[in-house]
Amino acid sequence: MSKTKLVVDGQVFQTTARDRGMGRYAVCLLQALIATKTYDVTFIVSSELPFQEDDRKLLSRIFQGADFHTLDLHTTKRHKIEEACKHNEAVLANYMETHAAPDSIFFIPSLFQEPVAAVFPKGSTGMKALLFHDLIPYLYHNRYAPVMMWENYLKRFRYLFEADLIFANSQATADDLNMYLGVPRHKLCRIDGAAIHTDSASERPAHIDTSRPFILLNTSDDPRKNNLRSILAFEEFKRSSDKEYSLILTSQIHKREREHLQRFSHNLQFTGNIPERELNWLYSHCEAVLFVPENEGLGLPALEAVDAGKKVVCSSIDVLREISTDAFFYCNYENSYAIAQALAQAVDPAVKVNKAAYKTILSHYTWPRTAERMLQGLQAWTPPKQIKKPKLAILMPTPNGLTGVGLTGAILHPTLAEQFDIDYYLEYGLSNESVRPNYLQYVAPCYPATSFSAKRYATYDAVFYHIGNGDYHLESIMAALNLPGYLIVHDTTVAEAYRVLHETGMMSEERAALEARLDTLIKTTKSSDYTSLANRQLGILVHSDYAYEAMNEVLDTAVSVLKANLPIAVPQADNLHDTQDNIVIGLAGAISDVKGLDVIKNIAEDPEFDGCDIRLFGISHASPQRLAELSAYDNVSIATNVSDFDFQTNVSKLDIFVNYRLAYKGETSNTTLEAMRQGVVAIVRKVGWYDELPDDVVVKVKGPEAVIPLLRDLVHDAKRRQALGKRAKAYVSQHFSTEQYAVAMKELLAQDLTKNPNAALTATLKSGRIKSPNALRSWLHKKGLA
Amino acid sequence: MATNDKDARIKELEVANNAYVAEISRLAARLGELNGEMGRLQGELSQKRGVRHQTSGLYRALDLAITSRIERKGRIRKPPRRSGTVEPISPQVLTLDNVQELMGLARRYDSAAYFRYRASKSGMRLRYRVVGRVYRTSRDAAKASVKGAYRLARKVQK
Repeated sequence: MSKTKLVVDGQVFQTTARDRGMGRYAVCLLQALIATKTYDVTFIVSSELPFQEDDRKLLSRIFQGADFHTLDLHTTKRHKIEEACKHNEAVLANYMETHAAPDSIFFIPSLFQEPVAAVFPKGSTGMKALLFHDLIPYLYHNRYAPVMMWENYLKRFRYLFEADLIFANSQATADDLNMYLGVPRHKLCRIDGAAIHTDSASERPAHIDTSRPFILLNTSDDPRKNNLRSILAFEEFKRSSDKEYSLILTSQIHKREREHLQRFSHNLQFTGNIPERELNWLYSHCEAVLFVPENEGLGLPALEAVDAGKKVVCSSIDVLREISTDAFFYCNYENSYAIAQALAQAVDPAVKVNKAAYKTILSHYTWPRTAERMLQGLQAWTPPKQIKKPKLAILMPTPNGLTGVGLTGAILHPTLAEQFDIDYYLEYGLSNESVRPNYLQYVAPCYPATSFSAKRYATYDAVFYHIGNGDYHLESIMAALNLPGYLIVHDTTVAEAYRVLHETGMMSEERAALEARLDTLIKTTKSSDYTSLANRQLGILVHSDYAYEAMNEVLDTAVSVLKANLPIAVPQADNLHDTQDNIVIGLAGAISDVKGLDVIKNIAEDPEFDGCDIRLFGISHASPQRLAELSAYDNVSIATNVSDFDFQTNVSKLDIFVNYRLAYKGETSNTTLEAMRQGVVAIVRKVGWYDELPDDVVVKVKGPEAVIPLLRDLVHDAKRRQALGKRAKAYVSQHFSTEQYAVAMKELLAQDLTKNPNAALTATLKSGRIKSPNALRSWLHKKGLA
Repeated sequence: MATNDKDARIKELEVANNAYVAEISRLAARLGELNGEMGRLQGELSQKRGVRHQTSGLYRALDLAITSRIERKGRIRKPPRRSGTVEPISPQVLTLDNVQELMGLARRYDSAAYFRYRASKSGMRLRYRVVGRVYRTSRDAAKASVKGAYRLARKVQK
């Protein structure tokens, strides 16, 4: 029986990345995979990139038994990325058609490498797989966007979402993809990795002075490597040590960066890029390995140090804790003093290497085991069922805007795209402010919401409107009032949105007042300004029983209301934040008085919480005076306008999250769910959606006076905190998935519409018979609707 | 004797304590000093890359500043225009007590308003759209010619 063909995009091996971490990882992985002799492997290389006979020979030697095929693949060096991708898709499709069976696998080992335009063949029926190294540029977009081809980076996300299977080099990387981009879990396969050894020889580097004991810092000049703090920490450590240590920094570091770092220490030695045998020598002769980056995809230097049996001082971050929770000397990478302390501990001869932990690491992190995990992933994959996807239009806020609704919509996209063919109509708000990259515009058809019309409405099977109480929902409300669709209710009060509609001239003052009059007559208790919106739809999706009741209160027509939980991804890795001396209490999300700033003030003033850190972070709606007043307390720190990644990192570091809302408007709190998914204990007000959460996953309080006594109990009861956090994470994981949301949307679409009078309007609009306001008005009149 | 020993021990601890306090304040001062230096250097960090890196960074920053300024300035701030008049709602209507009647009235108003509503397709004022187009075209042309000239110069050099 012939083997399945595995076609690998080999262009990364034609770039300088071949000799860097990412390229070397891909080499080792593919070598181990080829050694299993499971697949008939072919590498595709580009005629536009350098590939001399020597390169071919070298790669043939590395990947023994594999074939190499040169194709006319374009790069971003000479072409625009869209053109290059389009061209490459066609070239590869042609190749796959003529050279590969329909069940062949196409594999991209490095999607984001410039100038390569790595794509999947167009219309391929076989599996599309890729290797994902890290999401760091996206997570630290403020730092990376100015120093890289940013738009090209985001445009490549399209293939990330197109992949059937994504191999992640760590649980942390897989979690990032799931949490920040919404990539469904069934598409993710964690394979880990191993120390890279392509040369086992060892040779003393001639140009480096190794006469003094030294610490090894395997780094680069990437912004996240934390070089400056590493050096400051080294100097701090050296001051308290009686030995004359030096710090050896490996990899290519720019001259200016080197000069810069040397200002802080005269004990540095830069090796530049050195042959692997010299690196092996440095690993085997160093006193310890210092590795304190801000973030990593896998953490190869730590694995290489373990392989050499050396002690490792590393950052206390998820990805390194995932390798082992007790093998290394962990420290807070933001604090050079803490790094120095960990370093002093590591070089103490009395402290030995944790051999048992090292043995466990070495048995898991090997290339044959990595290839085995990859094989299992490839073999377990089953092609998705071919279904006819309904065509949907979704009107929502832009994902890069100030509201979290757009972000939720973007995170839902990969799951929904498996069931539906979606076009997005985006609203940009009045400020049009951008707080995160908008990748959705490159992975799905996106249009401005202003371009949505009755004519376009007629071309969709269904239209969903995300409705909230702000300026990011104006077009959605206007369209929903006229073109029956499915409401997704984020707030049960839209009075503020109506106010803006009137202020921007989209609606008259009397019309807005009429909606308020309807509320008065119906005597609504749980919503405002929803009567017209709700009664003109085909269906309504809500996120709580409270909102369910609110909608039924105003409904006079047979419109189905269905409840689904607000979707959120849950990290699989345990939240292993440092066991701190101080308990961290936080208020996150929108910082405003209605979110309980007074409660926080009371906590800060209470001497019982002097030993606790109180952190406020998110977007501030409070006055500068109010913030200044709070930050005057010694134990309070405030961070406003933090990035999504910083926000999530801060949430994960909390012990207790206080969310005491003074005013409740029928919303579900995404921030509370974000805290719960990290296993953080949430104290909430016993109202609306919060009250619907089970009593054993959050702590509920009736009044603000009850917060402090409860908090006091929690601060002193670590076991209770742990148990609550664990149950909260399990609860969110079980009930708040993106999958349950997609199922609810499908269920809503399948509801019987025979009794719904709005269905007739939808049918008439789709038939194209209504082309003017007069025609609509006479139709509504005829049907007794207006 | 025992008292003397105790006194000596207290004195010894006091000295040690003072030394610790001095060490802690030295470290705190050093930390503050280094934090200040770090803040200053973070600013410099972006400038200390290679000339090529620096130039491309500058180019991107400039390009972003120009395009976003054009976009910001050109954005339509006026309320969306209507192509015709919409039947107004009389203030007396707001005293009606019949929910069905009010709902019908609201629907009539909305249908007229929505179908007459004309949103700008591009979201940009015409002259800024033109300025944006001119800028992008000249930028791309200049970039292409610089690239061409550079290639030619290298060819000649070889």
